Amino acid sequence: MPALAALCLAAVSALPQKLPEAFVAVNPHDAGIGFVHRNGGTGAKEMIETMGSGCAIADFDNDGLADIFFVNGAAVPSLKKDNATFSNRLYHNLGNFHFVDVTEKAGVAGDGYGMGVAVGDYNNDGFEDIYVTGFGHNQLLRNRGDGTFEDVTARAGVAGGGWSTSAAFVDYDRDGFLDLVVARYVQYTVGTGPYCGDKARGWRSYCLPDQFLPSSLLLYHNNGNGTFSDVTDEAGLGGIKVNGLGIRIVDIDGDGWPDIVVASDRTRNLLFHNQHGKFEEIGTTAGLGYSNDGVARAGMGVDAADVNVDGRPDIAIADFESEGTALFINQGGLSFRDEAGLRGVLEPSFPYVGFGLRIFDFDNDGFPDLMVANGHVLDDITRYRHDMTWAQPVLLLHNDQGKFVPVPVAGADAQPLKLVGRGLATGDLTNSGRLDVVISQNDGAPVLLRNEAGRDMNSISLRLIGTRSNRDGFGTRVEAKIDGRVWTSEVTPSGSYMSSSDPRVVIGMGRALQVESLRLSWPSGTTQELRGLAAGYIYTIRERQGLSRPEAAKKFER
Amino acid sequence: MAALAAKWAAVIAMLAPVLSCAGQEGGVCSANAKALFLQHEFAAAQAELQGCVARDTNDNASWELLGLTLASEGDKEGARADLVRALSAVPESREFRINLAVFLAKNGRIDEADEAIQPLLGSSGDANLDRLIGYIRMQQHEEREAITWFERALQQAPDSVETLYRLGFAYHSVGDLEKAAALYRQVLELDPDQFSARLQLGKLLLLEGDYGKAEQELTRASRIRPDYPSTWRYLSEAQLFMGKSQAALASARTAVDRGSQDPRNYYQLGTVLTHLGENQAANAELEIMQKLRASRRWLPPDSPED
Repeated sequence: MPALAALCLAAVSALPQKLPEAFVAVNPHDAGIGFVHRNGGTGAKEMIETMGSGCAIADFDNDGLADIFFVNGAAVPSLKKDNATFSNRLYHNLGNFHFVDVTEKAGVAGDGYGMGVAVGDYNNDGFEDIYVTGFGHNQLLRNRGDGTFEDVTARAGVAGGGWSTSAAFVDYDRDGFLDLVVARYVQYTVGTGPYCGDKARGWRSYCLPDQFLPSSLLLYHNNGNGTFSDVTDEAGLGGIKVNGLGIRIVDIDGDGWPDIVVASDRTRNLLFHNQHGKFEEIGTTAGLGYSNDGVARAGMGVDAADVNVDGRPDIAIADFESEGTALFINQGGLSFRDEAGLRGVLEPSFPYVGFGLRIFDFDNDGFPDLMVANGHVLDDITRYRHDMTWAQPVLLLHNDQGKFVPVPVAGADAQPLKLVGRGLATGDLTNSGRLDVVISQNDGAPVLLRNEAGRDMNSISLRLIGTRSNRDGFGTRVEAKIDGRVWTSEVTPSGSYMSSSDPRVVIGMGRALQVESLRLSWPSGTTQELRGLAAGYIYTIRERQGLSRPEAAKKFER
Repeated sequence: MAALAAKWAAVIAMLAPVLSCAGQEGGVCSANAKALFLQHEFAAAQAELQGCVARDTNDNASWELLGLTLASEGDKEGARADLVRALSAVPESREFRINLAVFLAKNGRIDEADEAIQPLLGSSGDANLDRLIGYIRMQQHEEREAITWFERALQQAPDSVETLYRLGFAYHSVGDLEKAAALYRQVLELDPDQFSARLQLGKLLLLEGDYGKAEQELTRASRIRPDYPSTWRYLSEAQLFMGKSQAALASARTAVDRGSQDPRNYYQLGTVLTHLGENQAANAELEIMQKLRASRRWLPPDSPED
């Protein structure tokens, strides 16, 4: 272990380990959220019905409070949102976990069978736009800035096709405009799938992806004029076909160029290494493609964070039951090793089918923890496995000095939170400096988890505004020096499963009272430094070269 | 052929406890054949038994033993017919029922095995029966239930290597690695040459990041069954983590040599070569892996008893 990491581990080990209650599950109806995902299932067991959908947390109206967006299914086999129960839904945050449905006014109900969502300000106008992926076609919704959105899909040229799942905004060529990468799942046509399950008993069940052909990703380059160009092939993403489900943008080698990690279901995971705007797929040689013993697992959600405090981002991928969540530790030199067993992740995740996954510091002790939303793909799994259920517990693993320990999501005495979990997004919904969680369920109501952990721990939150870089500052590397320890992260809402998280960066500080120095390496090449940032504030930072001060500081609401 | 022999050796190992009862249900004609069977003289046993049933078509003990003999020789259909015939004639025979269920379970006819064993589910106090039910539940992916049955079996026969291993493997399958490792260790205390326990323990240690001990266990496993490819693959993994690149390369090559149709072996070889900076050679191996993977979804089990 590098000396720095050892030092940091020693420093943090003095922190209290008692974790009485991590989250409180807030009744969505009490919060004003009436959304219920509908998969349109008719009994024909079309595969799209079991994949669920994503959710997003972002401040769409720039009022300082993060709002929530949910993607919904459609009727099957028509694939039409033929009534309002199939609408995607946008909830405006009124504060204190109260939301109001603004879907109709905003014009974001959508069409077609929705899957995932990506959020980013593609036109750098200061308002977050929405990209909804789906089965058949995708939709780009431009935020007009007045509470309404305009469907600009056709003009932008990003409708895609096939079965799109996760997507992410990324300025892959560092030209100051957010481009768009889209993962796609299998090649599938509704109404033509084989009979899967136990035909003799009349148990028709959802098929495995092996029955179908895989798909390639899509990469759209932002032309800076409201249009995009499909550069999948010329950028090096074409021709590689997998059953893509999760996408995480992360600069794995710290060269300033954002790389793309794709979690894939029973085909190999991909790692597209960015070489100055051209990609080379190195997942297999980097050790990410397969399990250590060469098995292509059922990758669903994916996220990245520096879990062992060595300055390099590590990667977690949620997998199927009896596979366990993978935790690929970055060894440097474009090489990873799955240390899930060694670090305590394998065992607790082993019995479950994992989907949404985030690595985030829920208790603000300075170490990124792991949460996985589980739920089986077969709604009739109990027919085949008496010890399995469709709904499965949400898994929360506390990062205890580099090793992960399961902790109750909602208090030691509470019943395990069992869901048919799919999408999972994190965000500070109350501007408290603590990260809350939204989990979408397949064919069910979402779950809101209000963060109660780390109330006596400190943190800061960063909202970046790019000037030379893309306005969201996506891809900016953040290095915060706290009590002699350097905490590293990157600005991106990407990761998890078909979801998009609050792009603000929350830095857990333990008991430290200030960040000694904060270094931001923007995608434009701008290097910015801020010093002596006190704990307890949301800082708005505009891109500037050299030493600077935050543009604004707003105290946490606690 | 070696694999087939190993497979049937495992079947006989499982049947051995109930074989002692074979012959109790009928005449004495089969006594000599039984001795031949237990000495693995299957052809001679078969000839003997065919003589017995030709002389007395109601010699059910001989039909039973003939079924077991044919099973040992790989004649699945013949074996099944004879075992079913014997049980049909003596449906109250616990031993015949268990033998048929074992045969069916071992041949992947899990639902039929489960059906055959149903009349015995209420009975208790038989470690072999409990272990068999545990085995069937494992094949049905009902691991938690299997654990209950194996634990029951263990209460009656605490030193049964077979049951200890199967219980360990069941815990392994549900992700309780600590209990699995303890049980594998218990097996190895009783029988240091129990290959599967040695291999599985090595795999567990590898997962837990104890690469040195994993290497030790896997090296010992490779000496017990040098023909088994997955041992060499995992050994290569452990050696690579230990920084023993050349040893890892040799082990990976052996894995490929012994298991040339398993894409995972090429993956390991490619990984080692990548680590050694031999990118071109690595890519060649990884390409083979991709091709093999595209042509087949099924992967061989890691141990002969999985």
